Amino acid sequence: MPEATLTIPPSPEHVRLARLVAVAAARRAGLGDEQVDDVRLAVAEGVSRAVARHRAGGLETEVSIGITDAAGSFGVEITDQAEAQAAETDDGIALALIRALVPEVEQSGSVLRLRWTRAS
Amino acid sequence: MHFSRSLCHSSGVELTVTTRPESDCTVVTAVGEVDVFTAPSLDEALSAPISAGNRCLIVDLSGVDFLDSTGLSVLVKALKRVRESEGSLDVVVSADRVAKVFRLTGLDKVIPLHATLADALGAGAPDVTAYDEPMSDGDS
Repeated sequence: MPEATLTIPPSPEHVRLARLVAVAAARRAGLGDEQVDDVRLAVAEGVSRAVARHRAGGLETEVSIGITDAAGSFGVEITDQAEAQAAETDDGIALALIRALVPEVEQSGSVLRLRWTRAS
Repeated sequence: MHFSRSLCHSSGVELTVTTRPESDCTVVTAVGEVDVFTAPSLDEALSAPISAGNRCLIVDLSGVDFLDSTGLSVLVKALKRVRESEGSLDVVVSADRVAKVFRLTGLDKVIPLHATLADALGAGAPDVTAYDEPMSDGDS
């Protein structure tokens, strides 16, 4: 069950807002400093990628960021609308960074799910 | 010699970039956050001295507390350009959070990193290390 959902216009200036909200939620969820840093960067990469996919496809619809704080884990789900466009963006480094930063990554089309287990 | 300054902001200043000469090098100092929104101002600040023929560039990121892959791309682009003219690009990084991005992408093996500006200036001689494509082996 999402604790919070944020939608932003697909523009670079709004990526920072998503980052700040995710970081605040991660702190509140009790993640450690290093995990919070990883959330900050992974969300920046994921949301920047979604924004780039919208822009490549000429989409003006919003990008959605859902944050879940469930028992023992913290999740961020980034959803874009660009699947139909199969947007050609250079997202290799972004995805590689995300996989290096996040313990559980699930990517299917326009949905990117990131999940951290709270350090006990 | 020139001194330039540019600000990039929406809600409060996110990134300030200043450029100044130091010895035979150009020092570009960024303070704030480098992301998909602010990276273009760093890109412009790095492109100007390269286009003007300066072959020794030092990017001081000690005042940067966040850098993402967009920022890395800007640095890699500048590195490629200075190396075409056998120049050098050195980077000063102090925040662990920022150094980690270089490590995770393998760029710490491609771009000379320094803990302080003094270290970078001491190492300011042209660097001719072979350029390797970062993350080429894909097993990080």
